[in-house]
Amino acid sequence: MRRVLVIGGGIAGLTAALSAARAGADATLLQVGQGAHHLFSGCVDVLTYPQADGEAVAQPLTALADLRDDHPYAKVGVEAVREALAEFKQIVGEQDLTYVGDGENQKRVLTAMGTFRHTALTPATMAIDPAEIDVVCGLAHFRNFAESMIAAELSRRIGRPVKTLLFTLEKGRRDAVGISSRLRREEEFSALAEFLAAEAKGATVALPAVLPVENAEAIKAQIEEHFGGRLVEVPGLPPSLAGLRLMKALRRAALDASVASVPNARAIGPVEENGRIVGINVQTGNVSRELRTDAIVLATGHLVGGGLVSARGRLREAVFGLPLRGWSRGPFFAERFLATEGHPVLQAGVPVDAHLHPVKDGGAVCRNLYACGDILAGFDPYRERSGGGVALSTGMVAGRLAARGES
Amino acid sequence: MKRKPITEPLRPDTMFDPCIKCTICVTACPVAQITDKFPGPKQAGPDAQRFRTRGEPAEGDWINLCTGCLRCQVDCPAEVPIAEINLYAKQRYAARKGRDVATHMLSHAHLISPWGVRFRWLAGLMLRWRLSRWFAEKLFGIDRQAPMPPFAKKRFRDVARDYRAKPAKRKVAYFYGCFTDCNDPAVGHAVLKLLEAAGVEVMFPEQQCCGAALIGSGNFAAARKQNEVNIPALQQAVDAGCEAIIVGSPSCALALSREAHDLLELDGDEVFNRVIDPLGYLSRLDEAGELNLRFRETKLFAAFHEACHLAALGWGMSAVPWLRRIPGATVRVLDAGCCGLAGTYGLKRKTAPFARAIGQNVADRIAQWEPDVVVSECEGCRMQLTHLSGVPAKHPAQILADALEETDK
Repeated sequence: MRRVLVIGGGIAGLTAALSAARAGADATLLQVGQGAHHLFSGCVDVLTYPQADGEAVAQPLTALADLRDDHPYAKVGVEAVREALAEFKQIVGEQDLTYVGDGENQKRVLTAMGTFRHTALTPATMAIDPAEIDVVCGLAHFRNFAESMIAAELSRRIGRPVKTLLFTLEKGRRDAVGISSRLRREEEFSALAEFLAAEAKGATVALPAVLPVENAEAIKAQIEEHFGGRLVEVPGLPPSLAGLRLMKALRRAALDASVASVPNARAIGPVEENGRIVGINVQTGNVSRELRTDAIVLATGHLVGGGLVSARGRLREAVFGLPLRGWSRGPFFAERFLATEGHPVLQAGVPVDAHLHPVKDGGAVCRNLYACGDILAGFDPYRERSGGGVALSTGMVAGRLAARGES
Repeated sequence: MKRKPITEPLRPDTMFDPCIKCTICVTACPVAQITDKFPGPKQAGPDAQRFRTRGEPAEGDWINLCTGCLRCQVDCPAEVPIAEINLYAKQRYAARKGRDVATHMLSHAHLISPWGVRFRWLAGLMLRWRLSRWFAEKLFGIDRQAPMPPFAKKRFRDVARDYRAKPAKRKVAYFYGCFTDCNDPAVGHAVLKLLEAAGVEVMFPEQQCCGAALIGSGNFAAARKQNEVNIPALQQAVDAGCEAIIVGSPSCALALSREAHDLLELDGDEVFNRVIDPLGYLSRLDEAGELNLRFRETKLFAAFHEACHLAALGWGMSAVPWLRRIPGATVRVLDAGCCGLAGTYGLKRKTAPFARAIGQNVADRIAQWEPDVVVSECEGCRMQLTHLSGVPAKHPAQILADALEETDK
C-alpha cells in the first residue's frame, strides 16, 4: 500500500488525508496543535472579493473562471472545486453535521456586528437568511455578543423592527466553551426553550453560535420544537464552536476512513536518499524519530497555521525551506488593519505546478511532494474570502494525486 | 534542507512567552467544559505565570483541578507547555499548603499495591465493601464510588524474574509499570506473547514506579528519586544492546521520556529516544519486513479510546492498524475526548465528581455504539470507561495476543 504522509491538521490537511485514504493509500496525518478552525466562523467561503476594489460576487463558482492562472483554483479547475464542495457536504453529513449551499449562489449569514457576510456553504445551524430574523437573543454575562447593536444594524438593513431578548443562564461557566457544553444537558437547553416559548413563540430567533459541539443539530431541533419557531446561530469571536464542529466531523471521518492520526508531532525536515524524499524527521518535545513515506502532502498553512515562519523580516517555509513567491522583502502589513487591498505578507506562498508539486526554477522540487491549502502562492485567502474552498479543493486533489503517485 | 531540532526545554519563567491568547486550549480543556471552579488552561497557565515570575503567589486550590491530561498542551499551536506550567504551579502550591492525604496515598500507590497483592482477599473485600469504602472516603478522601482495580494473584514482577529469554538478533527492554505488575498482569503476558511471536529477545531491567502519579501531583522530588533508579537501569539495558524500551502504558512512557527530561531534569537521551509502545515497535519491525504475524478470525466490535497521554507522546495510535488486521474485527476510534480519570484525579473525593462529568462524553458515545470491548493502552482510561459505560476494556496487546495465530517454531 502506498504511504502518504500529510503534514498539517487543518481543513486542507484533513481533507488531503481523507482523500488519500479513500483513494486507497495508507494515510498518516501529522500535526502540531490544531488547525485554525476555531478562529473562523464554520462557514466555507469559496470566493467573495476576487478584486481588491471590486464588489462582492454573487456566484462564486462562476467567478472562478476569471481568476489568474497562478491562482490555486486555476491549478485544480472549477470542476474539482465543485466536486470538493459536494464531497465535503457528504463527508461531514455522515458525521451528523449538515451543510447547506453548493457554491453556485452565495448565502448570507448575519454577523456579530449586525452586518451580512457572504459565503458559499453554511452549517445548517446558520442557514437562515438574515432578512427572515425577527428576534436577536443575547445571553446575560456572555460578553462576545451585543444583541442591541446587532438588532439595530440588522433592522436598519432589512427595514423592519427587530426585537431583542436576553436570556440568563443559571450560575456557572458563561464563556462560549462553558455555555456550549452546558447546553448539552437537557435541563439547560430546555430552560432556554421555555424562555423562548414565553418570549418569542413561533419567531425566527438569532442566537450566538454556542450550540454544543456534539449533537448541535438535534438539540437545536428540540428547542425549536418546543417554542415553535426557528433558531439561527450568529458566528462571533473565537473560540468558534461551529469551527470546532467542522473540525470534529472531518477528523472523525478521517479516523473512520483509517487515516492514522499523529498529534503533537512536529515535522522538522525531510529524510533524503538519492535526491528523493523518503521520510520526515519528526519531533515531540525532546524526542525525535523518523517516519518513512512514499509521498508527502504539505498542508501546514500560512503564518497563522505555522507553515511559514518569519525571522528577522524574512519569511521561510518551515519544513523544507521551499522557495516562496508573492512577497520578498518589505513591510509585512498594510497601514490599516482592515486594508481592502490586503496585507503584503499574505500574498506570499509556495508556488506549485499543475500537479500541486512545489516548484523551484520552473521544475518540481520533488516528484513525491505536494502542497495544498493556505500555504499556496497566488492568492490571499483573507482578502478574497477564499480560504475554505481552496483548502477543500486543493486538499482533495493533492490527497488523490499523492495516493495515485503520478509522475 | 535539514534543520537542527530544538532540544533545549523552556523553563517556567519564560515558557509562557509564545502564548498568543488564541483560546484553543480552553476549547481543549476537559475541566473547563464542566466547571467554573477551574479558570481554564489559559488563565491558570500562561496568564497566571506572568505573576508567578514576579514571585507573587498566583494559584489557589483550583490549581489541583487541572487533571494534567495535557490536551491543552497538545492542541496549543504555539507549543506553549501549558500543562507543565500548571504542574510547576501545583508543586509551588503544595510547597506552601501541603498535599491532602488522598493525593499522598494515591500517588504512592506503588508502595501500597504490593501489600494489596499479598493480602489479596482482604484488599478485595475492603475495595468492594461499602462500609470500608465509606471509611476510606471519610478518613483518606478516597471517593467511595470511584473505580478501584482488583489486585493480581501473582505479580508480573515474579513472572519477569523467572523469565528465560531466547537469544535473538533484536533485543528490547520491557518496562511493564506498577499497574501491570500488581493489578493487571494479563497485559504483561499479552505484550510478552506478541514480542515472542515477533522473535524478539525480551529483557527485564530493574524497575520502580515511573513516578507519573507523583509528577501529576506536583511532587517532582519524589518522582526524580524513582527515576534516578529507572533511567540508569534502562541505560544499562541500552548498553546491553536493547534497541527499544517497550512501555505499555502511555503515562509511564511520558514520565520516562519527556517528563524525565523536561520536569525532572534528568539526563538520558539514549533512553528517552528509545521509549516506544509495544505496537509501535512491532509496526517498525513490520515496516522493515521482518514480521509475519497472523491473526485468527475474531468477530469483535472494538471502540478504541485514545488516551490523552498517548496523544501527548506524538506516536499516534499505532494499535489501531494492528487491530484492523484481525479478520472479522470492526475497529472505530471514539475520538470523544478525555475519560476524566487522569491517574489519581478520578479517585479522590474532591475531584471524582468532575472526573465522572468529564468522562460522560466518551461514555455517551460508547453507549451509542454498543461495542463489545473498549480498547485503550492506558489503565486509568480502561478503569474509568468500564466504570462509566459497563463495557469491558482491554489493552490492545490483549486483543491481539488473543487473536494471534499460533505458529509452529
